[in-house]
Amino acid sequence: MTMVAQQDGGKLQPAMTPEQEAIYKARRRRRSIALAIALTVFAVTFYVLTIVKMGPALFDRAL
Amino acid sequence: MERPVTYIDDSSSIPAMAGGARVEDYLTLLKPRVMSLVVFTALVGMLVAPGGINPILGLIAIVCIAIGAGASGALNMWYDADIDAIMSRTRNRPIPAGRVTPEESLVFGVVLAVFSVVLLGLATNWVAGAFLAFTIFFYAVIYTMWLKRATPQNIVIGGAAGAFPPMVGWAAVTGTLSWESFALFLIIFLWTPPHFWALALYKQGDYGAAGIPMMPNVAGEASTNRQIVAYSVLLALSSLLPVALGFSSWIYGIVATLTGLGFVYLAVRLWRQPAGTEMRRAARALFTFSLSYLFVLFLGLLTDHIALQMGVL
Repeated sequence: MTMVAQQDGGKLQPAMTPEQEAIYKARRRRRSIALAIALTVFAVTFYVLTIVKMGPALFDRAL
Repeated sequence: MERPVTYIDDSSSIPAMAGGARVEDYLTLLKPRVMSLVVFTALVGMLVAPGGINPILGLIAIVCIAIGAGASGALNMWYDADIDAIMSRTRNRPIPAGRVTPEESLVFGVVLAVFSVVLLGLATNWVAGAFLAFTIFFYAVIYTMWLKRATPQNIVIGGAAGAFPPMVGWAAVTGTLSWESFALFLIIFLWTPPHFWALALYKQGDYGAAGIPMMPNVAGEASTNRQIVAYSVLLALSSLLPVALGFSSWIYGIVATLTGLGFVYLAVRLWRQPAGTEMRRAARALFTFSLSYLFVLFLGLLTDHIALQMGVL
């Protein structure tokens, strides 16, 4: 199938039909959600790691 | 400026371009099947190591080792995209299929590698962190970029990368490397050549077309079969090292003996087959058995260790 290309951000990209564009946007949305979940897990992991490594000493300080 | 662009028509997909990948494509880059074996062997290495580790830190360590293995896979797929496109087994991987660009795979692999090493170092100790970094380097650079296309010994030396995970798991608990952890390394190291050569024997055409010097293509089938028998015997003997070194008992000893004998039997049967369809069938049988062999062996080691811990033995 031959398609017409278009300039997109300085790069030559094949043009998409409306259906393909819808799929593209749906995939981009799913990737964004996956990245958000990964970053959240990363932050929670660091928090838990800090608590576990410091242990009871975390609360053993002068007020 | 407009000009025609041709690509494979598939109404359910979009043109191969940056940003068109599915989440599943990124997961494929991590080589989940390889990762599952890495995770399991690392987990066993961690559980049979003397001493203990906080369960949460242990869980984080396993996740780090899994992500490190995944990073190696992504870097491997980035570098090997050209030969992956030639082989039937690999041509549908995300990069040769055009769903992920090489640059995306490279960045994905590097970010995950750095993340996994730093987090493992912080969660456990820097011996484990450094060893994980070395493992990723060994797989991505020593094996993928250098040995794989250069020598028929590629899988022998490169197999070390897949054998390191139980040592990383051991180091995560103890902070050191010991002869016991080396025994676990040796088992996987000696398992790798017969496993991959059995695969190469019935996928010879693929490897030959891609220009990868696998042993059957370079040394011939007869020589490969002899070497498979030699490595299988060494593997069966080395699988008894945990008993000899005293960190497992008769339960594991029985499992190692039976599975080792099975491995050697299938290797000898392959060696005795004349070239042709029967030989390829025997190679496939050995390859299939080798997949479950390592799992069963390490499961036996884990069961044995749990029985010892519970005072059953």
